[in-house]
Amino acid sequence: MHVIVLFGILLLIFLRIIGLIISFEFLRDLKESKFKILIIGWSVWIIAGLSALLIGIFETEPIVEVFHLINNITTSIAILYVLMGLYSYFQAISRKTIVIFTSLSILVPLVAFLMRMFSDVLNFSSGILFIVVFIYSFLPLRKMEVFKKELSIKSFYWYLIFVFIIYVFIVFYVIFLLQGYTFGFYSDEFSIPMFINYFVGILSNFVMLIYSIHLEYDISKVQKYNLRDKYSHDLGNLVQVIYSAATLTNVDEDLNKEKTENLELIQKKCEEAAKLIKDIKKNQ
Amino acid sequence: MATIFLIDDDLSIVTLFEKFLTILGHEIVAKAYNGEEAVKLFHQFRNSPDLILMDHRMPIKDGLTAAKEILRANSRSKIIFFSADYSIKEKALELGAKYFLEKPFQLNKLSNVINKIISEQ
Repeated sequence: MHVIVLFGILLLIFLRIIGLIISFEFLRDLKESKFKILIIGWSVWIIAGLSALLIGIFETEPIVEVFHLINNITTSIAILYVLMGLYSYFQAISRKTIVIFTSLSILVPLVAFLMRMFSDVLNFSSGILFIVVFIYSFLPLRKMEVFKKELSIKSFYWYLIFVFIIYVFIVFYVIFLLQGYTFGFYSDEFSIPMFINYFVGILSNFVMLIYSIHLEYDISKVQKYNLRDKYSHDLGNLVQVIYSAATLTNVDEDLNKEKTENLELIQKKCEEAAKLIKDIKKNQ
Repeated sequence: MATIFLIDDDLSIVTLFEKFLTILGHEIVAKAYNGEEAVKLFHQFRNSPDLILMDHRMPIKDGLTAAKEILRANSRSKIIFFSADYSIKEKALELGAKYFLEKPFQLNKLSNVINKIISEQ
């Protein structure tokens, strides 16, 4: 295995571990199912990286082929889950969709492998990968209102950078496959396509991480605002009742001086509370 | 003095506003506790009330939607919005509301706004 491949795979594993840790943190704080999808994605992607390293260690043909198969299947599933996890910020992913894509990613390469059509396995995995990447990177554009309402312009720019990089990656990959290179470029000899593959691959993983952090930051900000809005609204209604009740009671002419003073104190404090509530709303 | 239709999902607010406005000499012709009930009641009026006091955040149908339907039924309806949701102020005024009061407010302010709108009639 060439040093570029080894270094590239190690760096990719490192980035995926960071992705996994971030998803765990988000799951711990927010307990939303999309983070479970992301956790599966990043975990399987780490396994994909490890299986790629094993390809370089073993030299016996059948074992290498098995690791190739594992690497192909895990890479497809990992990218599928990470992209589905990122897309679920825009729309919930049904269990049916997950099951169909996962089954396809596992069964078809496995059957092809068992039927001794190894080269077809590689092509099929790449094919699935491109379709999945195309679908899930393109779909957020159809949900522009989410970007406008809930996300910041920064997230949108990172999304565009992310899409640009993975499309560049796909174009290069297709060209290289047509030239006869194989999935992973696990060769001992240096080649420009090998370098481009790992450079763009690492870049896309890095951008994907930043994009997911931006998405999460924006969504948690919106949730925080909504919560603040809800509480300031309910508090406003509460103060309105106290304020109005105090004003109405003060209309009574039979009240003694002490009671009148107490009511005036309540009204004064309600005025202060009203100001405070307005300040909270303004700071949103 | 004015005939007033009072709409808010908070029973305490409806009760207190009713007492206050009655003391001032206004007549509360109807009360509703959500937007849908408000629209239904409005369609049953023989004579439209002089003023409609409308909250926004209510169950079933919100104030803005109810106001839109009421104004569609009678474009001359005079609606005063009172809500703790300041973000809808612009939308309410664009829709044709006469005034927007942000909760919490002093009851005297409500009285001043009502008098001002009545005097414009």
